[in-house]
Amino acid sequence: MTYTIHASKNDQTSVTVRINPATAVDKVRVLELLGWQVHVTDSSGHLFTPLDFDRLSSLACATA
Amino acid sequence: MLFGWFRSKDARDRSRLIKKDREHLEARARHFLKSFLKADENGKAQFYRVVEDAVQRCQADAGVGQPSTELEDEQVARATSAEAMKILLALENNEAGSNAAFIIDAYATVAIAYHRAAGIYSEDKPMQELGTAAVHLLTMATSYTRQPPDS
Repeated sequence: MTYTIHASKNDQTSVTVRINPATAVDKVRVLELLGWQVHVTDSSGHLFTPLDFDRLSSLACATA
Repeated sequence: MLFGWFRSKDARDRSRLIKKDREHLEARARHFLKSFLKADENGKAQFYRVVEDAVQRCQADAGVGQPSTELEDEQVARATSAEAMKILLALENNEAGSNAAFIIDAYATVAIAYHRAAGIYSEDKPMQELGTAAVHLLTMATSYTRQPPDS
């Protein structure tokens, strides 16, 4: 499974991919802290918004 | 050779910041995060509000609060952390009232979260983990304070 992090701020956009949900959540939280609008999609097409990041964290714990 | 000098200067800079953070912030941030974990839902809301207020003040005072800022993420994170440290030290010198320690601990947590975001702790695992927890709390606080009041 891969996790694609979509981020945007001040007309800038960024897309990064992580294979581990824990590192995806870590990256996405840092981006959010720095004022980026973020969401994550996984390779099955699921969308995770900031309100779902805890669910993504649970996934990370389950796969650890 | 010049690249090596810059790299070692950067490493020395990070090392100096980590030492200062361990001295002034680590114990306070750990205490704040442990207290947060023990708090009930109403108590957690107080933690969210105090860290969100601290972030707003730090970014406003550091001049990095505007979304149109041209600064890089690392510069914003470093400036926010430095401002949190500055406010914390000023509050420690005038500590008064039962709530003062709680507020100072919140500033310590904010300072650590932003140094984590700036990549300062990348070579220091315990501080990196503490920073990760602090970042998590700050993002939860942002989500909480942006919720519509009736949700």
